[in-house]
Amino acid sequence: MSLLSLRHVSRRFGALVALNDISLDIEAGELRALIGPNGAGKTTLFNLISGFFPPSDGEILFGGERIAATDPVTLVRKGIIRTFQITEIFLDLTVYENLRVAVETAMGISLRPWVSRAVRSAVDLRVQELLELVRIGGRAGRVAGELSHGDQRVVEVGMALAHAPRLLLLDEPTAGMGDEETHHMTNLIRQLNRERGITILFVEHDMNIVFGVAERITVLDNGALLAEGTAAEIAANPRVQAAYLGQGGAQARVTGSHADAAS
Amino acid sequence: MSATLARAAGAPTHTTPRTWLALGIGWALLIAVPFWIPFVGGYTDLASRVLIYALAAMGLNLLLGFTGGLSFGHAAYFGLGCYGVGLMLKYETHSTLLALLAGTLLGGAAALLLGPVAVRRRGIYFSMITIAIGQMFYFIAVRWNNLTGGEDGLTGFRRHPLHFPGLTVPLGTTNFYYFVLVFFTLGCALLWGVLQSPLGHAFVAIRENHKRMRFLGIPVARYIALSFAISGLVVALAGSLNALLDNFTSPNDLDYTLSGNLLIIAVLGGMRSFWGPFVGAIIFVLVRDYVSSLITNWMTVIGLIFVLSVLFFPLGVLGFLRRRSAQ
Amino acid sequence: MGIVVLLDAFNGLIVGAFYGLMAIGLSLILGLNGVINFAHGTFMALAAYLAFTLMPVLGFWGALVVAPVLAAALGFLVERFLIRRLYRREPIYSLLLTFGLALIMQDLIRTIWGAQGQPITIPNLLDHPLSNTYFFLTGYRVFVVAAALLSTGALFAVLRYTRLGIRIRAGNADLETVATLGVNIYLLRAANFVLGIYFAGLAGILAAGQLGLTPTMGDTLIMPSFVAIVVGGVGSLLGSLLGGLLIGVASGVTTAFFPAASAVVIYVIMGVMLVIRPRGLLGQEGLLE
Repeated sequence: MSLLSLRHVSRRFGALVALNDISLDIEAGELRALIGPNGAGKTTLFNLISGFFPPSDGEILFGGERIAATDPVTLVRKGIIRTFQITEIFLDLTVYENLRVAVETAMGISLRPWVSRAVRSAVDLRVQELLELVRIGGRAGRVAGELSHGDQRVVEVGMALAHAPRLLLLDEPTAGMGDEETHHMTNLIRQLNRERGITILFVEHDMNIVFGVAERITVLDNGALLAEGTAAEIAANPRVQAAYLGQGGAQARVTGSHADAAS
Repeated sequence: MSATLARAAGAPTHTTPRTWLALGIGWALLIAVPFWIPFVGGYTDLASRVLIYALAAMGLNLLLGFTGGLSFGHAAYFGLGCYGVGLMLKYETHSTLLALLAGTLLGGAAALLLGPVAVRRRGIYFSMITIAIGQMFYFIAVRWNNLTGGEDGLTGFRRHPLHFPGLTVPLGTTNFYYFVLVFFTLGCALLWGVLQSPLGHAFVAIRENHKRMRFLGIPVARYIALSFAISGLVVALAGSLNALLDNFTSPNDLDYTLSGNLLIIAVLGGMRSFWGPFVGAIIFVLVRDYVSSLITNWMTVIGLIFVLSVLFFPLGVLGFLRRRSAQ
Repeated sequence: MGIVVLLDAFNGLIVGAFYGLMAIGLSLILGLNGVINFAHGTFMALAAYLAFTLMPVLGFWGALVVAPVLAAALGFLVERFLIRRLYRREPIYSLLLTFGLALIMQDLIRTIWGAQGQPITIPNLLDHPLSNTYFFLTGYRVFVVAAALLSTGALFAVLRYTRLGIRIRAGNADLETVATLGVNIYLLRAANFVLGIYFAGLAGILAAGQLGLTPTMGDTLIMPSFVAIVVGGVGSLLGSLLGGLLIGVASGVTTAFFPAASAVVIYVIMGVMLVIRPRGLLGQEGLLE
């Protein structure tokens, strides 16, 4: 049984059809990329899976359980956790405080108006672990709003990891990052998937990353499922090339990236 | 937002020796108030009033400054505390403490019940609903004449001496000041404790980014309602003390004008810092007391305080000082 | 009994018309300016007092035309020099600003015209009952309802058919997009604020003729107007008007049966509405939140 299954899922906004009849399966332990030209419906798909809004039609199954129209709060408890295209963190708090809140929500103690010393140190331990895992410990005391865009993204991933997700949704994790930061993020994604076995679905525009990181790739175009397969299959797929060509000479990027991925 | 402003925005995190020292000095000054206040032209009841308004504004600020919920209706919980105390002392009991407890619980229970209604909307509509809900109690107090005394207010009750086994403490002006100081301290301790806990961390995080909190699995509206209730409870405690101070209450203690005053106290002192509303209360209560004894157009002066502090002093006194010291 | 209920319902309708007019102005300002205008009631009272002063010179009709314009002109100054500076800040600041302005303006009214109420003279033409059976149908009361409906109709026409109105509605839906289309949103918000205050002024003069002229007349109307907006539905001007009429009539009818509860019933309606239909009568979900 797949970890996540979408069966004939559609989403309309008034007359606009954002997603039309999408069916796809993601297996546990997979590292899947979701690509497509702007406006293809990638973020809409994330919003449906994470419960931001319900599908207009179709069913979403998570671990065999129907989750369409389930609210995000419940979905987080079931293990679906996401990041956003525009980083959503607590800008006025320190990195440490950002992660601490995330850890406390994950431990289910956020309602407590007091804590024992033991719980407090358990929280601290977990925060330290996360700081180390995403390698941002050196900036723990810094206010998040002062960090570079890339570091803020890393903090957001760290917060997501506090929950030990069964399915991690990353919306353009490297958007706006420099080379160094991108390298760091892609390594982190690989490491989380291989060493911790976290199932990851990520949206990405940079084809180098997509073809370098993902095992399988799903391509959306204009709200519909265009193709799905391994990196090599996708790069060779004429329909994918056509879709990207329509975007204005992006074919070179696809094939060029393929060469990179192969090397 | 600048880094310095940002730091001021967090919940109190670490208590340094310097903070303890400052707390100790402030505390000693408060204990000594009845001895020094006559020399600076004040009187002890005025100091009691400052503490009461400070407690109310600090309670409100848990919701406003630390959870990001702009309630314009907290006078309702203040006033319910007042009427709870007044009615208890008038009809039911001679125990000042019991009446205080009843008033506090009455206001707190109302906040607990009405918070969930208000949080059904967010943003300025949340504010509008809190105003309207608050004003409902005002009209109830005005119309329910035979119980509340209507527009003339509730009279015929007074605070009684405290009775402990083998000890009776009369609550004259000075003793009552200490009575207020004790509950002020308890209220502050409650608020401080909450802000240091996971619950407080969640409140601040909701203020910062409720979308992120929702996607960390937190039912945001319910948490805001909880902050609303705790804050209402503390405000009700302040209201209860206020009724004991005056031995009187009236619909004015429920009116939205008071809500506005509590908000400006928080903003004036600095709504992003724990002690900001305390500083704001000192300024506001003293200026009001002084100006209203001096001129008839004192409302204009209060209005000017609102306008000027909003335009030129948005961070409040403590926020301003903190920014300067950081530069 | 029947006629008493009818009388109270009609009285409620009239008060509701004032709520509705207030609520429309508040709604306009709330939507595009993002400001809870606490000074709305005071602008209203100010316009009524200005009309009172102008009446000996201009007569009732002249004052009815000129006074709201003067209030709106003051509204322009307030928006231009005070509120405009706060658009980028959290809502609490503009809210406290208008709250402070209300205190100052009310004090000003007291200083100029005195704390006691003043008599407003209604034109003879409107001062008679139109029917012997339905004695409460005086010309003025019918006039008030008609004027409320007429001016609301005019407002909707302006919003639908003029360039300014279309921009205001578009800005209500999505101010950022409107800004990117090259519309001067500062000017737009100023115009909108002025329009809102104009409506407050109009309501003030009509209300003074019916409810009397006192410095605090706006205070008693502004709270129900907030309720009218919540009940009518956030972001819907028609909703605000309907909400105002609804709670006015409900309050009036309650007066007939249980007078003490007449002021409270509108809050009960709001509470019920929030529980069963948080978006209000005609509101849209999620707008302005």
